Amino acid sequence: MIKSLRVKILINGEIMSKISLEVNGRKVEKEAPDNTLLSTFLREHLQLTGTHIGCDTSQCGACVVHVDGNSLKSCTALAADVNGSKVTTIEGLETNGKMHPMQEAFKKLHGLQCGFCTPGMVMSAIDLLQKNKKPSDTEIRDWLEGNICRCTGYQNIVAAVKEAATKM
Amino acid sequence: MSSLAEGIGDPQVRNRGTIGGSIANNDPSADYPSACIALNATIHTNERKIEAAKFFKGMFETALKKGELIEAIEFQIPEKSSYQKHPNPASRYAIVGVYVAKHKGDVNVAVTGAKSCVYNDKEMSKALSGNFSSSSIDGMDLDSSEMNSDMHASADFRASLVVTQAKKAVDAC
Repeated sequence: MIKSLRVKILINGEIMSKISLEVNGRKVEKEAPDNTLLSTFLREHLQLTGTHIGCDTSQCGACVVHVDGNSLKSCTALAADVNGSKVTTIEGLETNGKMHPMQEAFKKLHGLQCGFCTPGMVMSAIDLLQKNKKPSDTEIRDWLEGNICRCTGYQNIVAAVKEAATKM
Repeated sequence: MSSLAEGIGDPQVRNRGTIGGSIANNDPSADYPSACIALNATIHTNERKIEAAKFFKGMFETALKKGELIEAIEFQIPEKSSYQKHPNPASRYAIVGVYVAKHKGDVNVAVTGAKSCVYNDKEMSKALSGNFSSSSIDGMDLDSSEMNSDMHASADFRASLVVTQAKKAVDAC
C-alpha cells in the first residue's frame, strides 16, 4: 500500500527521495538517497544516535525500533520504504524526563552492562509486552532471540522484562 | 511453508522481511529459496516468468536483470511437504535446511545452507521418488567436495546434516 507519494530529486547524480516520517511524535521531512537505510537515516540525518548499529546484517538487534507499532531491525528497512510511517526510537520512550517502565526495570535489575545492545533490547521487549502482557521466561527468550547481548548472559534482561510486565 | 516462515530469523526480521526480498537476495542460507525449488515455483517479474530451477544462479546471484522486479511467486501444491533445518545456535540461519516435497510422480529435495546456492539433490530425489520413506536415504553418503566449510560446520558435517534433515522432513510428511 502506498502511504504517500514520494518525490524524486536528483542531486549530484544520486537519486534522492523526500522522506516524511513521524519520529517520536514529531513530524520530520528530509531528503536522502534512495538506498539510505532507516538506521542510517535515524542516526545520521536526524542525529538520533540512540539507535545503534552493531552488525548491519540484521543479526544483532541493536538497531530495533518500532514502525507503526511493530518492532523491526532498522538496518533491514530502507528509509524511503517506510515513508509516511510512525517511528518510535529509544529516545521517544521517556515522558517528561521520566524513564519508561521497561527502562526503569533494566536499570533496577541490572539488565545491561556495556549498554550497546540495550536500546534494541528495550524496544523489542516493549513490543513483546504490547502483544503478550504476561510472557513466560521461554516466551521472553524466544522473542529476544534476535537481540544479542555479549555481557549479561541474559538472566537479568529476562528478569527486567518480567518486572516491567508487572508495571505496564 | 507457514512453519518455514515462522522459523526465519527472529520476530523483528519477520516483521519486516518479505519472500520476494529473500529470494532476490539469494543468501546461500536463506530458507525461502528451498521452498521455491521444492514446490516448483514460478517467479513472476515485471518482465517475464522464470522457473525457480533457472532463477537461483549462484551465491547471492539470480536470473534477475537490472531493473527487473519480482511481483509474484506461484507455487505448485504438493501432495505432502516438510521443511526441516539445523539452525545456527546464535543467529538461527540454516546451517543446513532441507525442504522435501512429494508431488504426483516425483519428489524434490531442496537443500539450502550446504553449498554456495540452493539446489535440488537429485540422488535423494531419485531414491525418494522410488520409495517415499526415510529408510531409502538412510546412511546415504553424499559428496561433500562442493559443500561449505566454516567455523560452524565442516563440509562433511554438512553432508551428514543434509541426510539427517531430509530424513526428518520425510518422517514429518
